Amino acid sequence: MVKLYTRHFSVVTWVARGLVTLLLVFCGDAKADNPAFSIRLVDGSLGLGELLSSADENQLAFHVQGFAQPFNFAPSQLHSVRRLDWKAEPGRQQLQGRLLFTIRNHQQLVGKIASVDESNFVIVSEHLGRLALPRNDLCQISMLHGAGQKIKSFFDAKDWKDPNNLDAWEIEGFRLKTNQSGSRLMTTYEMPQQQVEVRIALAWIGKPRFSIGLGVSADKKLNELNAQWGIAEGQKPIPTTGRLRGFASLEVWEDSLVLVRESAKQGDFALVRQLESDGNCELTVFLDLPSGIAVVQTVDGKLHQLQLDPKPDGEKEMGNSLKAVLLQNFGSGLTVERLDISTWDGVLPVEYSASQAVLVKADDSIVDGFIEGWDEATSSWLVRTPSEQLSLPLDQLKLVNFARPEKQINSLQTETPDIETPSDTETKSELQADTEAIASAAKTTDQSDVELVYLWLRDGSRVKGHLLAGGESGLSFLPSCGHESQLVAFSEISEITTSSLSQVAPIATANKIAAIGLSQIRGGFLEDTPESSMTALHWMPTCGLNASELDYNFSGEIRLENAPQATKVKSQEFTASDTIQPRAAVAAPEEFNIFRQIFGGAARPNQPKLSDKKIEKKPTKKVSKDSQIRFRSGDVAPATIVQVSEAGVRFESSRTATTFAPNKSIDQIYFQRAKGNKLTEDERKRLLTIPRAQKNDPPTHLVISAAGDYLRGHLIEVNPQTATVEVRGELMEFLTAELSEIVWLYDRNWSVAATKEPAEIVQPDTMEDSEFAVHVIVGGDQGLTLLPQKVQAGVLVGMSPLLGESSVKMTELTQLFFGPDAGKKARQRRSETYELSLAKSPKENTESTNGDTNPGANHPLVDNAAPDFSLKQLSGELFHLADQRGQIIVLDFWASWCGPCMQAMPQVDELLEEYRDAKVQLIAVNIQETKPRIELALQKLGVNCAIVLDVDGEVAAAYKANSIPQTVIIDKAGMVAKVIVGGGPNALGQIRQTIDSLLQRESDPTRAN
Amino acid sequence: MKNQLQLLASVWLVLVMASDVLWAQANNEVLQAYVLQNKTPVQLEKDLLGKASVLVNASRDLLELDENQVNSLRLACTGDISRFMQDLVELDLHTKKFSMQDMARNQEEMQRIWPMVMPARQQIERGLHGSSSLFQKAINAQLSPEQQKKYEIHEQNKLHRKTVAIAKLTLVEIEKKMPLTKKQRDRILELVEKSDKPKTIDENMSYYLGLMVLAKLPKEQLSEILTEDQLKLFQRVTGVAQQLGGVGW
Repeated sequence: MVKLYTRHFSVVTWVARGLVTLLLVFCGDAKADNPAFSIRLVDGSLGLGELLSSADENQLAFHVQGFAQPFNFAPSQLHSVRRLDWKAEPGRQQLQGRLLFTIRNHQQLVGKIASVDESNFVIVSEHLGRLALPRNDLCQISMLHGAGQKIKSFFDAKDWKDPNNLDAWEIEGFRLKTNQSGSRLMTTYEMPQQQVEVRIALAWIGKPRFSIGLGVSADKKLNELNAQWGIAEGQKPIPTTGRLRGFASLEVWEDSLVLVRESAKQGDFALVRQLESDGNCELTVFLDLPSGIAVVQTVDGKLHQLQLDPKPDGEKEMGNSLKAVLLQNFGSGLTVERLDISTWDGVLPVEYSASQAVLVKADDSIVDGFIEGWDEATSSWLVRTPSEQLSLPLDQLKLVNFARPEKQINSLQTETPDIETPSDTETKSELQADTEAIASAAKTTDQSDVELVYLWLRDGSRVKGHLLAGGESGLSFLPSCGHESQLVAFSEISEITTSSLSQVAPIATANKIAAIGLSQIRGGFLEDTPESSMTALHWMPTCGLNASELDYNFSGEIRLENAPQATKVKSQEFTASDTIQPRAAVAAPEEFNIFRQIFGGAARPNQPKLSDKKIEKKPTKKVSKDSQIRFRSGDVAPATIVQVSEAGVRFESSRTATTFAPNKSIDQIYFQRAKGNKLTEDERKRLLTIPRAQKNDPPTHLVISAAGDYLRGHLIEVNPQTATVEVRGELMEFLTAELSEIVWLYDRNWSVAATKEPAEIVQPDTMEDSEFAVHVIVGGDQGLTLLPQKVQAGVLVGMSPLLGESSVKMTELTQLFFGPDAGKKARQRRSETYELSLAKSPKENTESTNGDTNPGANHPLVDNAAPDFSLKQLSGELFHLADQRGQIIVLDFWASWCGPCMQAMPQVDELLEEYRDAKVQLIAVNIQETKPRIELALQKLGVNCAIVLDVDGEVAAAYKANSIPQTVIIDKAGMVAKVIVGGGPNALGQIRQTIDSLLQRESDPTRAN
Repeated sequence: MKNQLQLLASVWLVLVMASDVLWAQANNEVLQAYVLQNKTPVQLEKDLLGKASVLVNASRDLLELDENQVNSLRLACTGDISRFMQDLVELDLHTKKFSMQDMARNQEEMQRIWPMVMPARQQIERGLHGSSSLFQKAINAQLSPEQQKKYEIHEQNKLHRKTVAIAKLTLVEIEKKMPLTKKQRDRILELVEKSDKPKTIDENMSYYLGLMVLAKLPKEQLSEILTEDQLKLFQRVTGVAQQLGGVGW
């Protein structure tokens, strides 16, 4: 019944998928264009997509890219919605002649005056219609000026560069973030007009320790410093700075934020505000380079102005139009939430904390009076002064400031009088206090107030109001200062916030994140999916009111725990803590040839002889429960290995009912963690470098013991008790319980590998990358690629192309890739730690001309003076090669982790015993291993030759011992006579032949050369 | 309740002390040896702020500064110190991986690191409120012309006293090679007192200042004080400073 249901379900799903695919073919790419808006939620989620009207009142709909349906959010869960394409914003010059009405609660409205009476100013806004503003709510009226074209925004993140090359800054959504103290970041911008407005929002962790240089002559100064220290540009860190100050800078001195205007000889400073730990701030800085003015305006409207005449000092950078912003973090962490640079017309914003009613005329003269009315016919203000009534034409009045109580001026959350507002003397930041006040408001005030949002329009208007239901081309909005709802076109909306101030977004703490592109939505999967579901996976945002299915055409990632974003399945890093100890060695019978062929090894002419040694059977240990199969597809499944044979791997897994996988799909079988330290890169390289003599019969498997030893060979069989491996003609058997891992070393096209181009690795059959698939990761290590079918009772069921129907409990998931490229991502996660390579062929090494296939036959060192060296011996004495003249020295480069070395060294030692009286000395050069480890290896090998310790690998490098074992024979005059790479009977024969030849030459000098 | 508060205070004290110890431990050897003068950064900053306070108070008394000017100078001094401490953060980033042993062993590293460490070392040795400091820039920008004149005279007098003191010390050094009678010494010092003193000095050159002053003493008058041999030796020793720049007379 279950099977029937599943099949039925599958058929429905596949039919539906087919229809969608057809639809896509006919309708084109279903992917949305570049997103127009970003949404931030109070839990720190960030989404990119489209702003929509909700079908319900007091809700906002947002279609996040990567999800099939839009999400609905209550205003209380919203932090902000922001337009992304800031370049489309109109310049303020387009609004020339309009009036800017500053209203209580940090609202402002751009429009025209319609009428004025005793209690109201009636205003006509292009986008919000006719609004009656109570006289008592008005703070200011000012005439709009030109300028304000944005020239740089934080969103141009690619333009930022890190002068220290520390990679210390990262982009999280549209935030720029660093946790590196001492890190710097710089961006340049064109500033033809030399008057700019910089809007900055920052947050920090711990004590505030940062500086922002504005108007820095970036390249010039950097180049100067680089030249001073002889450092190529962009190559190395610039030494200590503090010298890259700009035209002005915002710096934290002690716990104070200070605006600094500094020239070569003069300096002026303004204390902007005190900063607290773990805080944030938002500021606007105005720079006028020609006149030397720097002004900062805080969010409470206060202005701090500095002016230094640039001419006396002759600031050189004045003529330079390319400027930079330099961010420097000296504290625990800094986040740049916003950094917009716009042109500025040089007219300072009005400091709206003034508490007195003032009328400023266009000629900057002050009129003592108030607005009594508006004459529509003449477009003039009717102004009442103590002595008379004046009629001032619209363009003659620059500014009207209305008297307000001090409390109202300082208040940041004035809508609800019950809420305590921060005073100037309070140490909390205004923004933090504002955020807290909003949160407090949500609890203590009328519910309807929580539902209010601020709508920011592209013309500069910022109005508080209610979101209404419906509206296709725009947002249905009821301003709190108006009586009629308005349909505001989406194209005119700049921002929607729940605060009157643009504030720094909260840092997310939730640990379940759907990451699609730059979007990061906190939430979780639904435990049961509807039957009509296309992708079976429905995401419910923590702050959302509804769930949405993952979009069939998008790719992304879901992180369900604090899993690192781009973790890769890492194979165990092994080092040899002991030499590998086969339980017994048996020769391979003829029939094993077929296994070798199947496992990748070709049958060789010199078959090993049968040995009568038998395996000493020991009590079988249970195989670790951690055992896994790692597939070449990137899938990793928990599995108990039943058998490995020429047919493939038989296993049992809780993840799937499938019990068999062919060899071609296997990457590794993993039994348990190996002991020992990580292999160094050099060690790994040597391990995976195959002597050219073996190029026709490379090892097919790497066997790693639980003790951390490893062996290259041809795997013959694995069963729960034993594993059999053929190494250089000998069969070795190991207890399976003592193994850590078996790695399949896939065939390479050796003739190709011998050239520079590596051979392409053929991937096993897997699903088409055009299908919607998921790759689920369990515990950060195991993973499975599935075509999802359903989620039922918290279990994701899907079809694995490799393992058939498979299931994973949703609670076990730590990460999930989805989309058509999920399989590709899974393969990318697969570690390629063990890739074989063929020893490089020296230029001089022309092979097979005389039947000598050893890569060292024509080694560049041959016939040259042996590189001299002094190394400590294991006994502690110093060995100096030059002191050994008069002896034939045989250098054997080895390491205990190198199986062939361990095989070869006793044989070489035994061989050289025959020449003891002929002054032939074996010096075993150990490469980069510790003394205890070497001693342990020697104990097992039973050799008594001199061991010298090449701790840094310098001697190995001098002798080009890139693959070991390598034997170097040096004659009595200190010249290299022969280099033999690799071990085996051939190598022994060559050593013998070379020594005999040298000794013969000695006794009969006429034979020399 | 009282006990709880006491416990809390003890824990706080331990934490503060531990953090200071940790700082000291975590500090890099190179900075510790060359820049921090064997203090923790916290101690150093505290010392520097103390010195700055003395400087501002002295300036206030000398120049009769108003409150705004005092605040500005105080802020400037804080800025000088904060910038220096910030520079140390960045310097720490580049040097923390090196031990003194590494520096001694690896000349190449030494040569790479030293140019970064040296300016900070020189800066802390000379004081943070010198000619290119924010303090000096604030003096230039915030003081009235009269106050600036007064400050200039004060600085000149200070430089004069410093110059004479250095010249005396240099003379002591010369006397190790060329003993003088008390009369000779007194007469030379009289000449030093009367001689022209530098109006500006590059702080890098202060080591040579004494030699420069002695080298400028008039030969005729020196020949009346010193014997012929002494004069030759005196001129040979001070002659090296004849061509040195960096001092404005």
